[in-house]
Amino acid sequence: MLRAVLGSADAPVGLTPKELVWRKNKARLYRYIRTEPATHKTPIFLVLPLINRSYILDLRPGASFVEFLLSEGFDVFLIDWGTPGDEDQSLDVTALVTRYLPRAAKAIQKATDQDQMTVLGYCIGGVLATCFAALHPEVTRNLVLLTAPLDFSDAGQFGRMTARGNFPVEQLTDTFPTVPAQLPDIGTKLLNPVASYVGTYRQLWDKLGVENFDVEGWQAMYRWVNDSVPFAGAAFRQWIVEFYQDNRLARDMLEMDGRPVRLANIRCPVLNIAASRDQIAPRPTTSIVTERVASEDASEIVVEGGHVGIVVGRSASQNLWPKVGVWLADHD
Amino acid sequence: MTKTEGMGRATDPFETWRQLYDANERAWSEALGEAMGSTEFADSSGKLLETMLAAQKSVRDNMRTYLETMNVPTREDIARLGEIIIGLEEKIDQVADRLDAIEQAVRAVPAGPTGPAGPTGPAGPFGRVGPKGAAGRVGPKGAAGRAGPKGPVGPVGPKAARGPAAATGRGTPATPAKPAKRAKRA
Repeated sequence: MLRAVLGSADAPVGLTPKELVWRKNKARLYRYIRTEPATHKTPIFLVLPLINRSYILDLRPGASFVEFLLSEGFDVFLIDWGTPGDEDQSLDVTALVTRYLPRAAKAIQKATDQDQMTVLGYCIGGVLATCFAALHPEVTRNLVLLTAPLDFSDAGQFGRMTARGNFPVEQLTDTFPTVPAQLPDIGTKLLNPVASYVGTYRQLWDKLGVENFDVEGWQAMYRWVNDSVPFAGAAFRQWIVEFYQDNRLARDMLEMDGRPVRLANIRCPVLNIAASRDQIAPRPTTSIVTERVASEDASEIVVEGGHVGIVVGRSASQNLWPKVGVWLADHD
Repeated sequence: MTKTEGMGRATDPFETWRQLYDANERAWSEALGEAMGSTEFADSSGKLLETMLAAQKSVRDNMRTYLETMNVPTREDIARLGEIIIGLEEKIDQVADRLDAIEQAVRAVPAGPTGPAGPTGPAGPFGRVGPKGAAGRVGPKGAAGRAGPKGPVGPVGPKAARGPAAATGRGTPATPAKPAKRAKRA
């Protein structure tokens, strides 16, 4: 068991071949290499969360959402935010949405010769993708959200932990230019401490006795769960204050670079995918998008499971991904 | 199962731990979930975090003072350099955005008659040195050049042999003889 745990640090992940298309500061835009030309013309732009490594969508061969999209004939791009350092302390969410995403989108336009793209965001990446779609409707052909929390009026335990008066966000970002990765990580694990700190190893203990147990798959997932990324100070402060505490996006009060960010500005087709037992982005936080956007074509899929199981695991690959593939093909 | 195997399993500490976990996992989770989901827990965890941050800030401030005293660049100094570079990169991106916008605007304008030349723009940034070019073709023959400067004096040649005396055509008129002086007798 110890060998399985310790070996996870070197577990091979993110193996699908890709090429660098654009870069800015720590951010990298990759295009996944296709062996044959894409059969769908609309490229897919994957926007990942800020606090997790991007390889969750390309965990390992056979358990990779990226690999699935490529096999379905899509041209796939992914933005990896990299690891912020102290020099990124003034990098906020607004900068990511107004200075990074538009330029990455422009790089995709140049690379594919297509004016529009499907923007697909996961978790916080989904929030960034939503803000981008609201500010740049001319570029966004479709918007797909995977467990993206948009309404923080009832944000569950995270909401209580980060409530104004309880959470010293100013003191935290004054002390740390970049919020250490351990802090959000501990916060996430405290949502279900018994399962996080004991259940994981108890399950491993059981599975090690099973003949065909996929140790490498477990190691890849274990590596991702414990491989968090620091949060740039200004981005963390804006995330907690403007999103969690003030709930500005849902209340139509969010502004970025002086421009209002309104869900009602989104007119493209929207697919919202949520998880029923998600504790990180509980159901009340993910349910408003289909009602609030101005799209005539806004649909929702609610999957049984948690925040991470929605993008990896057998259930995701057998049930969810094919549905997403069909939706994307229909909206090409 | 043999008797020995049965005994081994019963005394296996991991097996005992697993049974204990299975029996209590739900109860532990519910109790912890209830406690940690409360406002009181959120409040106390915030206070704990504040205390830890105050201690951390004190350590960082002391370290900065120490490094400054020792004339060693602090973490903030290095971060500041990084910020300057990131700012420069952003400026370059803004220039590139403007160029893109200009290119798009130029493409969008239909071709009309050529207007007068605009004013000369500022000099652009220095580019990288390019690769060495191929050798050029041989040019046409040039015009004759000017006479060169006078050369150095050459070596002295061999002395020529004296030739026969030439016949005199007309003789020199004879000088009239002077009258002889009378010898002085002693």
